[in-house]
Amino acid sequence: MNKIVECRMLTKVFDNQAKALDQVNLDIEENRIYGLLGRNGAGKTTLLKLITGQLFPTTGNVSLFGKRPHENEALLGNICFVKENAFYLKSFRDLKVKDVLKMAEAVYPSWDCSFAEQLAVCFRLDVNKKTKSLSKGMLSAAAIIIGLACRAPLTIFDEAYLGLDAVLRQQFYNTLLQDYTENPRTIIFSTHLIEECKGLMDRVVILEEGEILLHEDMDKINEKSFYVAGRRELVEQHLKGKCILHTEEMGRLVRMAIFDSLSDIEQNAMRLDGIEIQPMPLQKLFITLTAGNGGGENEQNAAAV
Amino acid sequence: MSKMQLQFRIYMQSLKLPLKVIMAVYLANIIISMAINAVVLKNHDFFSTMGYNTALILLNFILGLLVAIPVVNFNMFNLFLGFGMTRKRYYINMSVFNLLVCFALTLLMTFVYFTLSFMLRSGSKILYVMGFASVDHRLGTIFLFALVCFSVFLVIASLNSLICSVFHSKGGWYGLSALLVALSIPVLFIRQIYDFVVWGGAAALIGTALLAASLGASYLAWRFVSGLEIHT
Amino acid sequence: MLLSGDSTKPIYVQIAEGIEDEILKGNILEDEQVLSTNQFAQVYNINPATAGKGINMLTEEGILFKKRGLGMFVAKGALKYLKEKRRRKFFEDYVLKTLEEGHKLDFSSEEIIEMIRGWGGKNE
Repeated sequence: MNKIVECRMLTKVFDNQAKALDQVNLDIEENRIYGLLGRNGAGKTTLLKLITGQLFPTTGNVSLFGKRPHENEALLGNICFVKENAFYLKSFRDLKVKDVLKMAEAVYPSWDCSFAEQLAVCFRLDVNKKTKSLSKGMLSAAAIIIGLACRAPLTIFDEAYLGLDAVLRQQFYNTLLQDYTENPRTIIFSTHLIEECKGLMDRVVILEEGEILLHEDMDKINEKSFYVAGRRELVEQHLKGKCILHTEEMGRLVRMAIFDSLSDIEQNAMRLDGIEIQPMPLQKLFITLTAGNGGGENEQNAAAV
Repeated sequence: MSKMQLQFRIYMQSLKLPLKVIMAVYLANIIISMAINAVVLKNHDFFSTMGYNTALILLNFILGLLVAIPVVNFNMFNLFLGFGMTRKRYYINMSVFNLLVCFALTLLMTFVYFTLSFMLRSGSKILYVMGFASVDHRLGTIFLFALVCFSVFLVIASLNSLICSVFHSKGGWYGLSALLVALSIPVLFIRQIYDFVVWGGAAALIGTALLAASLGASYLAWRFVSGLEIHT
Repeated sequence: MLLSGDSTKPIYVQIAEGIEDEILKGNILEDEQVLSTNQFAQVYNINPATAGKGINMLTEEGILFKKRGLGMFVAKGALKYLKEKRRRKFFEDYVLKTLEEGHKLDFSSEEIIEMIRGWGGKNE
């Protein structure tokens, strides 16, 4: 698999404050959809801005398609960064939406004009409206249309759904997936709505306090995250040596969140001992990995995985 | 549509508002001065006084515009950089716009000044603008006037760009300090500037010195712009 | 006990059945306290009213009872009652289903019975 983005020991410090990113090593492979998850302030947007050359790394380096992204115009037409706050589109002021779309056509070589028009109808965006009069949701819709229609080999959506209602969000996900199957490209999807977007993600990167906590295929994660409940001594005996993220005690009973593979044999043996096993949704895994309660221990566990 | 056209279109869009404000101030100024001349002073030399006032107010208008333009330009930085543009291209486009604006304003200023001075030839007043007396109409003087105008405008625009670039890359306090330093120059050298205005003397020398100063300021601005990041 | 978001069963039924299962497995003994409505709500991230509904189902059946000021406890005889109740449903829920699936796969009833006989227990 071709690597599109390579980050090596990437560190970013803002004004002598704490490190926003700390020695991050990350490879993004071609034609996959990445889910970038992390709490507020975990460094998601900083990482994305470093990748797109909007910020300069303090130390370490980024390469995009094998080259340095900063000040490389040919490269910048191949990436599209849809930011979390589409408010910046209001700077176009009196320009109509269709003018903005025309401008995007000038920027992105792979722009698809008819697809953009089709999307505008789809998202109920009036292309004759002036950008300064657009509502929050419509601004997001305009930004998303640019992100989809540009078909850039690397497209980044950083919480692009802000202000969109549930129907439009679903429409966005569906259109994205459909267009992705027809025109494969690399997509990085940063989101807080994990459950909503988990169907899109092919690979998941979880950031916490400027470090990568987890970088794994979605399928592998699904095969590894479980809730296990049953009698304490039995559960402990079966899960010896497994990576336990969280334990909840209820009298004689415990419920454990684990992040480790369980073979069918192990699962059957546990079921026969009256232990219940259930897959843990990605959102729960994310919360147990990054939440404050016993965070230090969790991080170590996850790092050991 | 090229990226230069793209930037120019957005630039003109965002220039609309400051242009409106400055125009409004300018018009109000002219109307007030006209009213004072006509009603209060009951000036017998109405047209020459009007011309005198108009030229000075026009100069203020141009200065206002020169201050507004780099500010507008820098406010667009985030948008452009997020739109597949490099810092270098952004800076080059911005410099071209600055040059064009200064050139256009110089033409305007020269045209207005010399039309007025021809009108005032018979009047009792002598109009001094940028150190040039309105009684001199030789072609060489017109050229020198244009040169001085252009260099003064350019130095204002580039200093202002420099201040904006400091403001955006180093933050508000550094920007404010840069602004104060820039403002202190005319205050410290007020006497020399006065002499320069009155005597009109070494126009070519001053013009060249100002052009060199704006080149220096532009280079410094580029140093700041090339390291500019988007934080919002 | 675990709740499943994908199940067609409503959450409160899952809670009631979950508690029943734990009693049957001997993980909660008679006269012992079960989690309160609020604890359920907290641990499983569900609405307290939903948890309350599940617990009420069991109180109405007399499996749980309320000690004023203390909380919910497992009633005496609950285990026996539950076993009887589940035994009644055992044929429908498990035996019939096993036979159905077995016949689909062309196992005869005798073969299935042999299979059950042949399985010596979990330690094998």
